[in-house]
Amino acid sequence: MTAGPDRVRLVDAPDESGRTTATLLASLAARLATLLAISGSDAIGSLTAGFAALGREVGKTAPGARLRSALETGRPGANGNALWSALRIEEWASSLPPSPVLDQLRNDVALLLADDLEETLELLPIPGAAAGARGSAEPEAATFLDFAVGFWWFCREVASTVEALAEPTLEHESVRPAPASETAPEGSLLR
Amino acid sequence: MSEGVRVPNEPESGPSGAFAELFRLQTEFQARLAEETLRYFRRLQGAAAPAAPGTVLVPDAETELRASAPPGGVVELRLEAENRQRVHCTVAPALTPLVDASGATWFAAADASPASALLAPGEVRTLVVDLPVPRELPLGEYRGALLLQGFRDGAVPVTVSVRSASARARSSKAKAATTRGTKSSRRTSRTRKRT
Repeated sequence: MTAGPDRVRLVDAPDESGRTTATLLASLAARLATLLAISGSDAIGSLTAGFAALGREVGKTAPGARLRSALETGRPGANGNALWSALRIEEWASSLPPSPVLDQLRNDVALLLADDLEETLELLPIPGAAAGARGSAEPEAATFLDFAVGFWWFCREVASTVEALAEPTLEHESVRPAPASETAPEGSLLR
Repeated sequence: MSEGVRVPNEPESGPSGAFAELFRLQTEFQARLAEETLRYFRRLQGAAAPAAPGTVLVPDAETELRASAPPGGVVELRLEAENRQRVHCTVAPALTPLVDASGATWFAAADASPASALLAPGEVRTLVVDLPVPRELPLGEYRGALLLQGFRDGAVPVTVSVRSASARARSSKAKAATTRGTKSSRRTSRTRKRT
């Protein structure tokens, strides 16, 4: 049986400046600039915490919960938890503010598709906004399983997004016609 | 007559015991202070981090995806997503586990098409989610939500009624009878009005 098509609207967050080419470019530039001001450990820790935060969200869905449960009951889950505990990865990642990795990925993809990017690049440097209260939330525990599930979803989205980006100009023919030339092709492979 | 100072060797009594306790409390205080200061600086670091503008999902007030199927059947859910932002937006639908009032939980192996879609500004795309209903799933009304992953808050409620084929047939017959009854009563009232 088919349910009727209901509609949802995707809008800007009310307390933010909104997603425009300029704000996305400012966000990317600010992220790159921040890398010069923080340690590598902090950068990687924030990304790890970000994947774990994504994993907590994805764990609420049926595929995420199934994957998490499967990992949890097998050896990889036990060994992963043991590694994270012994090497104090959980303690390290839990103490850092999580990067909004999915938002960042989607914003960067939107920049690749923006039709006004060249004009906006000329406006650089564009002052970027700070995360504010959203970024200062109390960090939650970043466990191995959260990280694994979040990283899985992130990689899945990267793969599907890159394919979607290439789709409009992807050549579907597996055979290319011979070029219009009077001389026959020569080479060691064509003996 | 002089009296020697007695130095007790029990840790909990005498002046050294009191100093030890003071030292322990002071150490605990310093450790906690360092921990809280570090946490404060981490949160400050988070607040000063660059913002990543995001997307919010706004469903219509009465939006709810409802469908029914017998065990072994397939449920199809359809949802239109409209991008009201000024740049492209990525949509990735995912279903939460569905729970019946009896407590049975259905981790549906949903097949979303497309699994992830890039929506241009102003574009409307229909997302289709197929749910194969397992044969062993107990009959009932399963409730959950369709999440568009990565969007802050907001989800679309989903209700899937899993009923036996005969119950569905009875239900559709009852519906048809209700419709016929309504039509005949309308005809009767029209006739009365004419007379």
